[in-house]
Amino acid sequence: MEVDITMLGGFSIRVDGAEVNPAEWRRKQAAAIVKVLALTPRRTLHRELLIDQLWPELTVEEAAPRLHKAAHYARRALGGPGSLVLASESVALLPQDEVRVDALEFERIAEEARTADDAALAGRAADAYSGDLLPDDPYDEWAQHNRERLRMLYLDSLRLANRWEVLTTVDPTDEQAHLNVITDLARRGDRRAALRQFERLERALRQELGVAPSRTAVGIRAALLAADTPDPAQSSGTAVNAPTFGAGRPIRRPAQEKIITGRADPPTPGAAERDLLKQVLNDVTSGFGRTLFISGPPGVGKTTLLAWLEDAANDRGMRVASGIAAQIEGAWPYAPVLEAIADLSRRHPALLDGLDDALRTEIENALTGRAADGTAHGGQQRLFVAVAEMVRLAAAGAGTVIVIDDAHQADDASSRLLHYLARSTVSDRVLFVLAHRQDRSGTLTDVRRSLSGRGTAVSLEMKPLSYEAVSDLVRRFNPDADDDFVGAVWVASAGIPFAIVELMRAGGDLHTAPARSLVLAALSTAQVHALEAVAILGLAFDTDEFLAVTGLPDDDAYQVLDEAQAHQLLVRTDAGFEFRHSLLRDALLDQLSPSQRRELHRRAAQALIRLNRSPAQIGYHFVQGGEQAAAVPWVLQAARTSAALGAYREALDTLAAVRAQATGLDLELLLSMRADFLMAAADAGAVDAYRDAIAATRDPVAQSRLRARLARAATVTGDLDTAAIALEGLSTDGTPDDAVLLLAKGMLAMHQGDLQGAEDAAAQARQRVALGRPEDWQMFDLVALQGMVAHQKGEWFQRLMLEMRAGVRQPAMATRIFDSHLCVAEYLLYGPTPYAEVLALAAALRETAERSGVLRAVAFATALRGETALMMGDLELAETELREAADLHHDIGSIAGEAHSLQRLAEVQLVLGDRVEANRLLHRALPLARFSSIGLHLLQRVFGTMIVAAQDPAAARAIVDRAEATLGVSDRCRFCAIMLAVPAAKACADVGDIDDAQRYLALAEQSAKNWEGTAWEASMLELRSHLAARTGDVAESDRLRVQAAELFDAFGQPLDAQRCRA
Amino acid sequence: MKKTWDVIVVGVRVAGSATAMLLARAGLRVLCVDRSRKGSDTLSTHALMRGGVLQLHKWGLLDQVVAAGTPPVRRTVFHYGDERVAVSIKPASGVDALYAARRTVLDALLVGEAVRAGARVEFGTPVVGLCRRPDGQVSGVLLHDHRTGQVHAEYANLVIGADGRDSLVAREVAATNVFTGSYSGAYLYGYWPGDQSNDYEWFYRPGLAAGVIPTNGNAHCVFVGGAPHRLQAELSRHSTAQAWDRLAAESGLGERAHSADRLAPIRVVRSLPAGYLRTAQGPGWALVGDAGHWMDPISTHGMTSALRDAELLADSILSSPVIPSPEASSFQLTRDRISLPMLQASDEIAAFRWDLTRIRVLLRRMSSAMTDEGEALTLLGPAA
Repeated sequence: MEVDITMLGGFSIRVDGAEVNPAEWRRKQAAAIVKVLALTPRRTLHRELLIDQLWPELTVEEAAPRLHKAAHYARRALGGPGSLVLASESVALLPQDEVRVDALEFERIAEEARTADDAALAGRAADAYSGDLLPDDPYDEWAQHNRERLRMLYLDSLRLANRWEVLTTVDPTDEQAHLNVITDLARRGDRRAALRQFERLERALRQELGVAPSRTAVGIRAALLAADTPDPAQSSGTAVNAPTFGAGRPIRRPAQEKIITGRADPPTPGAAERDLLKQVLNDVTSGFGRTLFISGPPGVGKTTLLAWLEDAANDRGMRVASGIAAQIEGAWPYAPVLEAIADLSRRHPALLDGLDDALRTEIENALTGRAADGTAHGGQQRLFVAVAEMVRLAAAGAGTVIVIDDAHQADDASSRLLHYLARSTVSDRVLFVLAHRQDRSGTLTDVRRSLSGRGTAVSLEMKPLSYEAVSDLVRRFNPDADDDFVGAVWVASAGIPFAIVELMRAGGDLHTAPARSLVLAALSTAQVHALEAVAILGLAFDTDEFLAVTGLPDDDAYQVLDEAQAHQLLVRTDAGFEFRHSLLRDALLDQLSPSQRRELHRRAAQALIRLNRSPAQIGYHFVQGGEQAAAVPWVLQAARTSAALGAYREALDTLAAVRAQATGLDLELLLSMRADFLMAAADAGAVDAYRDAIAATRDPVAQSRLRARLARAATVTGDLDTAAIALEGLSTDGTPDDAVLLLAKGMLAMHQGDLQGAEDAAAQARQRVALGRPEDWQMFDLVALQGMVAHQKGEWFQRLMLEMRAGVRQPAMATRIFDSHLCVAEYLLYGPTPYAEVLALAAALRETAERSGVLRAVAFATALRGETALMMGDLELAETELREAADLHHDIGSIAGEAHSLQRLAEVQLVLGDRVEANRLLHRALPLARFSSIGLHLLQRVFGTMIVAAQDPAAARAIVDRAEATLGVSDRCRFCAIMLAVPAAKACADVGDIDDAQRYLALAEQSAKNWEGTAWEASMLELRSHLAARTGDVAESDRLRVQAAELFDAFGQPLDAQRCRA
Repeated sequence: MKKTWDVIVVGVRVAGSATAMLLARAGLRVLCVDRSRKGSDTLSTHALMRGGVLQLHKWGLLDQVVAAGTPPVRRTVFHYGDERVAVSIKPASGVDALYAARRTVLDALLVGEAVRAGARVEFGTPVVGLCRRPDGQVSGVLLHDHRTGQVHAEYANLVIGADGRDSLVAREVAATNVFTGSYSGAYLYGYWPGDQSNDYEWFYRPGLAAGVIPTNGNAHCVFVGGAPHRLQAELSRHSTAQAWDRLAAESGLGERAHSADRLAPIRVVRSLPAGYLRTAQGPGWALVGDAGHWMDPISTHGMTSALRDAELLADSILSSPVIPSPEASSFQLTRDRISLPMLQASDEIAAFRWDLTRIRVLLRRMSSAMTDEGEALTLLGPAA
């Protein structure tokens, strides 16, 4: 037989000219044997080596049957018993046949070319490389290694063959290749194309932190620009000549504004504003982290103020960086914050010498949307930690200023990240500046409120200019202007400096909207149309994008760009162009009808596809263009990236936009992703979403997978029947899905009270999780399940202290202690460990966990510190830590922890006497507690505190009933029962319902047996004293109260002791 | 007639020879004198940080360092207790790896380059005093000729003291300290056969620190240190080799460098001074290298500082309107701006009183200061 094996760019086999039906390769392992052997010399491999490559996690004995089965299917596909020979020691592929493998053929020619240093031969090799090796097996290690090796060889061949242009597309970060292309274009006199090539290099380098074009490259670009720029004044305003501002956007310096406005400076910030900014900088320099919110209407001068602030910070030796929201429409989550971080590392690349590789990779993956796994739960947490560490590094010297402009347009994910960053750098020299238009409701407002509550936020509201200031400004342009004219400008501009400057530049025509008048006056209709087409993309764009969206011939397009620059509508940046002010872009977009806009969005989407731009951007434009169906595949990709970065809400929103139009496999995928993301975002809608996904799915394997997930979601919501039905008939099958199934079974067993079943499933799941590369949430589920089993068995308390101590030293341990443990951590609090020790231990644990990027564990430790402080009576510390714990749990979507922290915070408020605030917190906590994996523990505590917080005895008694109705009798945790039973007994007694009080007392006493040697003994004494008082036995009541107070004192709980003595 | 030099450099270790080279390259007449014999080794951690490598690259000397078989270090690994943090060196400004050349390699290279650039270098020639003009300005040095036993004078417009911590020049001009640290560590160090790893590795445990630095000859320079009393306690009860093994085990080095495998005797370094910054210049004189600025070896930044100050001083001299007098205070201003934060951080590190949280804060400060250092050096542009 003559056999042709294609492995480059895809996998197929032709036997004697006829292609083997691709369906034969659906069995992955059968195909894998053929692929591995085809790449092996003489196509023969030792049996054990083969097994080791294909099933690294199995022993030879375990793998043998799989090998035989896979070999069987491979033979069937290849058509004969002799095609795959299993000898005792070795396995051989097609030993008797003439076989051609394209990958090996390429390798041979390329090596020959390299040895002979032969450019023509290298060209042939490059031609023979029809794509990367086996692109459909991205994660198999054996394929990865070979793929990388052949790819390197391909790049070398391209270099040897002088195919620089191809090289720039295959390896866009190869600066030398770009420079060769640029030099060549420049030599041929095509400076425009040379500059465009430079933009491409810039774009490629931006995907990596701290990498900028070399000095040589910057020099070449400057020379090109000097020759290219239509107006000589223009080039002095570009970033090239100002390396410290070389961040890819036009420089916001007064010096540049001078060039732009031509005849006068924009008004400099007022003295009051400057003083405020100076004060903020002083605070930051003294080590108090601050977040500055600068708000005001568009054009009021926020950008000018930011430029002033940046200069002032630079003068103090602080490191300044900035990002702009809405730079690109439809960008990925966190874009403006990541842009600022990229800016920071580009200006100060050596800072990266202090950043853990793992953290750097985290940021780089987020920058490029490379994070692939759509349900990874921890991505966001590590990204948060990585960005915070980068900011701290930058702040370690004189301090750092991170500016986010147009923050009102930032996505929610960015706001959450900023919220976290601002909180975690309060004792570093960090200033975050968020410039935004009007103050609207939304995440940004929440962030502002939260930070204001902590005293770390500063607000600066910029107002339009007064009549006098308008007069000054107008007369700077036109010293002869009379009062009538000034008055007219004042009215027309509404005191907005930008409008005044534009009005004056447009010749003082007061009858048209200023920005628009400029655009219309200066350019032809065709030119305006071209700019409208590109304005739809965002504030910034590059030459490739401009050419693609306008569809203009190159020369015409360049002429539009020249004119627009000459009229100062656009400015050049390192990466392309940018509208000089967002109002100018708004002016262009404002004159479009809805249907024109949709048309432009559609054109943009098509153009971006041709340019291979981000799926998020393409999907966005299709959706905006009303072509939801076309958007589906892009949106699916984009949503996966968003989710991998932890931006579940954003991912869900994008999916929702195209759901109605998705069909077939796309719809199946969409629905299952939607369910996974809802689950990850702790949304109770996950159960129904899984149901929808199952209904839409035909593939039985996929259905089984979804059913296991449905069971997990249903268990968490307490719908055990649904969970049980979902799991019916499902069994493990040796695939990676087993871990999910076992965890779902374990969770269900746990909630059904089948302790043994839960323990067995947990043990099996542990093996599977350890074998594979589990998603983080599986690890979280497993730890939670194990914790609950141990909790129920009463074993966890002793182990927790040991684990925490170990966790301080070993990050791997620290990362496994988190919110699921919160209720067991109670034992530490009520037990004999001195509070100071618990505080210190929790602080150390928090640091270890933070460095490992596991914010769940950080939040756990923070909550524990808050609780400890509450017990000790340090209410200030308790409030600080618990508030932080609630915020952090909220930011990372960990609702059990959030509910727990809120409930404790409510206790703090009760001690402080703020019953209203306590109730507000408890009502936030209640729904969260319900939908949490430890709901049956948490609910008892939330209700317990609600009883205490009730307005009057009748209300308290009503809550007891409500708790009873919600909780049922059977599914309470015997440890946590005391936390409801004690207040419930009191509440019943207070309304004279002595029978129920006695019943709760009995429940409490039963639970108290589990708490021997803890402060709960004191609580029981206090309760009995209370009941004795209600039944008229005053002497007994007093005696018990004194005992309780003494015992509380002994456990170091002064507040409780005080209460007993009161 | 008196022979007059533009500059006399006292001491031709790293700082002295680099300064001499830069000035000679710019066309100045430079005489270098050193009390020791040519080619002698000296106590050093060898490690160059990014700023140091950047300069060797700029001066066109990095290729020779590489050609001498100095292994490229592409990663730094920090061990905080049991936790390991790896930081790769990102290629930037022509630096894609760090290097830790043996002093026999680096010193010889720099001296050779100084000579090639036209500087005259006299070894085995101790300075015994300074010459001064009537107004007190330093005008030359008194040299002891070991062959004749005679003392003679050489005159220059500027005398640069690059003669180490016990600088005679600094003493003679009564240079005062502008900053004095409070702490110094004590160290054991030696050489071990290199293994597969070409990383800088730093180990931190409460009260102890250690480091592995790959250098020439496929050897690793390995050190372990702590507060002087801590090392003294070990050395008073155990042999040096035993003390080494105990401290190595405790610091986290473990079996990486067992005393039995050492290539050369383990050396003890104690009684080091605390870090300082001395006045860097005065009428007719300037100080570079350890003579003007010393940081505890735990910073492993001494050579990088030396190369940096050589360039800052040379730049300041060459941009002065009256060559060769350093531009009034510009050298010291820049040196102090960069050095002070580093010195403060390394002083606290050398106290060995930190815990694993505090050490990270201190190292972050070092890192930040090194970023400023690199940027300052980049701004100086290509060297003369």
